[in-house]
Amino acid sequence: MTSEDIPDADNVVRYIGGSKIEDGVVLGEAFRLPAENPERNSPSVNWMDCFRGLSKAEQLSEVRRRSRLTLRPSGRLAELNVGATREYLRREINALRFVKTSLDTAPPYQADPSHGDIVGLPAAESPMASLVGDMIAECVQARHPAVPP
Amino acid sequence: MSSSFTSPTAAIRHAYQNRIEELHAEARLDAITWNVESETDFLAFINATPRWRKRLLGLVNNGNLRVTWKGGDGDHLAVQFLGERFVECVIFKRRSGSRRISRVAGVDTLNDLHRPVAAFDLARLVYL
Repeated sequence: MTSEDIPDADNVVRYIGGSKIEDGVVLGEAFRLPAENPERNSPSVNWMDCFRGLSKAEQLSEVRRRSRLTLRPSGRLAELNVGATREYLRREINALRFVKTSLDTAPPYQADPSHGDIVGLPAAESPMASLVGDMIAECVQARHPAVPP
Repeated sequence: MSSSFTSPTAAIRHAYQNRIEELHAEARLDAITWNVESETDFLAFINATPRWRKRLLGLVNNGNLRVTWKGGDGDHLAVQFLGERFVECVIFKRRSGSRRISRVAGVDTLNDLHRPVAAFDLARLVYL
């Protein structure tokens, strides 16, 4: 199945746990394939512009409300522009894509139309994966509280 | 950095120890299996080479510690402690007189970590 790409002009956020952010700096560790779960082969994001017509604060609120992750105060939502990130990575990795992978309702969770994945990343346990993760981290344009103050 | 420390290196060690405690707590919450060998190598590294600047310390999902130095000029060195005295390095280096950034990644031994620092002229980034 071919997944639909999130438009280059749009922004996504990825939840970054406290072990991958220090002094407000998002570390490249946050953008690697999840080595602990080979079945889950792409890091997830949330497509903010899925919630069109809402302010950024309202979009973030929707993302938090529908998230199936345990968002903690030490974590952050790191914001990336899709096109700028893909362009920055193009010299190293041409296949990077941000794709829509909306989630259906699955009690107790409600549907999450904003869910997406970063696909095309190098294998998790490789120097190239670390290099690409560090490059994506350099593209983070804003950090938002994972749990509102 | 606290002025109660007698030397910058003592303050650096203390800051790293605090961060490692935070990372242990995060690892428990995220069910990440801590790699004791990685921590052992990291502590050996900071004890053997105390003149390295304190920079950002994170935890990879495989349980390894990874430290990152970043400069305002785009220079970047990240070192993942793999255990068994091996390290994985990622280096970004903006060459003088050029807008281009060289990017390399590879695996080396802990004892040879100073070599890429010298080869890519990163001393100002990582040493006190």
